[in-house]
Amino acid sequence: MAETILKVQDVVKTFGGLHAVNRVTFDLAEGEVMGLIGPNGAGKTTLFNVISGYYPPTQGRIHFKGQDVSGVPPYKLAAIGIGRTFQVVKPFPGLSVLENVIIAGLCRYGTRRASEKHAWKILDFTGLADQADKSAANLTLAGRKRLEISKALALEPSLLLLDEVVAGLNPTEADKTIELILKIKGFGISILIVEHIMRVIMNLSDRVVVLNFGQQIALGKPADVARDPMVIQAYFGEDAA
Amino acid sequence: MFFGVGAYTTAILMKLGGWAFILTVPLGGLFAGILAFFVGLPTLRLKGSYFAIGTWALALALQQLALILDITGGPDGMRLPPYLNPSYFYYWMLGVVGGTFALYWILLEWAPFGLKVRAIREDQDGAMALGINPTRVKVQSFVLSAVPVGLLGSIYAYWITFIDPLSAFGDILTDQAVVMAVVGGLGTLIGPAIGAVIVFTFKTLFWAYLSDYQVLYLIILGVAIALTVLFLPNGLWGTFINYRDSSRGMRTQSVSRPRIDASEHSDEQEKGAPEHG
Repeated sequence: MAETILKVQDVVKTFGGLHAVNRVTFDLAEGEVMGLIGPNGAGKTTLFNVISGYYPPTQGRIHFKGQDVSGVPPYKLAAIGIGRTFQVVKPFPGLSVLENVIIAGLCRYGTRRASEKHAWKILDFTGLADQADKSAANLTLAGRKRLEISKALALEPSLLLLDEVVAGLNPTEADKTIELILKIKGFGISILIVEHIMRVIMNLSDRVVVLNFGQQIALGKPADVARDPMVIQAYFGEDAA
Repeated sequence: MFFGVGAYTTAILMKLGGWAFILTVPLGGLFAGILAFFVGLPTLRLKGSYFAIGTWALALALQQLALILDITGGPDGMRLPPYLNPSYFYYWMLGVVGGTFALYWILLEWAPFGLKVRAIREDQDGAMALGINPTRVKVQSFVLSAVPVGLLGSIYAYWITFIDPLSAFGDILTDQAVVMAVVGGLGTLIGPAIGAVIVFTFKTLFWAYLSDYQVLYLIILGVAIALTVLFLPNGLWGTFINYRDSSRGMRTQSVSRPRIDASEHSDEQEKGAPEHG
């Protein structure tokens, strides 16, 4: 078994009286792809925001590479190797695609020149090189999602958090993105991926965590989780179970 | 506010300490920078207009302080030994402004710093995910914008030979600076310079021909801001750049590799301190 890279321990996040994430616990091994699924409002994005430092956990601890990173701000996590994308993509619209990726590379490669060289490699890899000069605001949705991945990759992360990078794409674009994620996995980067499209999760994930109303209701291999009565009930209601 | 700090630094050191003018100028810049650091650290964590309100309140507090302290001469202000040599001061100011412009150009257009500043302006959460510490970059920008203003305040004090709380910490100075930046174009290096030329041309003409109607001056400045924000939100220079870029047509998709193109979007945030004068 490979080393554990991410350890999520009893993590709780409340907003007022609402338990958006309630006692979630799982480990992610080095090189593993973990799917994070659940119905709308299950707390997936909140959990992402807690792991990536945007919200401190109300309770529980998060360890990354053996180091307690609970409540550490996002920019420090980015520097030690946690890259993330946003469900609502966050390009810097007034800047070119290339500049967007250069900025991401700055924290690894101090100078603009070195970071630009690195950015070109990333853009070649993600297939955005021919649009490098475009303003990020002029990209299609598929392009913007790819840009999100490019920026996260430019950090040279050892853990990548992907928040719905496939949702909203047409089938051809979706296949290309799945292929891209598999290539990223091939580099040995651990991935935690949120996605609504089951086909994507089933194809990509080694294991799956299922959340419902903030609670962790299942954890296991995709095929097993898909047969879990609790999961079926969460997705399809009482009758189906 | 940083202008006043520079002005009073020079006035106090020259008058009470008997320092040479040359030595007081760097200190004026230094004190402005130090103040910016300690003010920026807490206030730059605030979002949106709270930061502006916070610094505005602090400027008023400093003005009040200058009014009651003995060392600043209170409401009577301070008179410095006159040195009547306009070109001397002209070259001092030209030097500071030129140096500032060159420094800002290097930092914002060429160094990584400019990209970080733009990233934060475009999307702060997105910037944090890429390893950028927004508060840190903002404090750096704030200090960077305060130092030249402090230097100019120092020079101003000796040039005009008289400062009081109103002239050093007054809002007319700040208001003018805001008009310059907004009319010229926020987030550009050239814009505020254009705005400054316009405001000062107007000011000179106004005092020459309309000085009986002083009250109109601030009203006209206010109207100028309102109209610019409504009809030319990017300011004169920003509008010109947008027009130029769009008339060149959409950017083509063919890219000539290795190139760094900052000139096409010269929308670097000019952390042009005047706003916080």
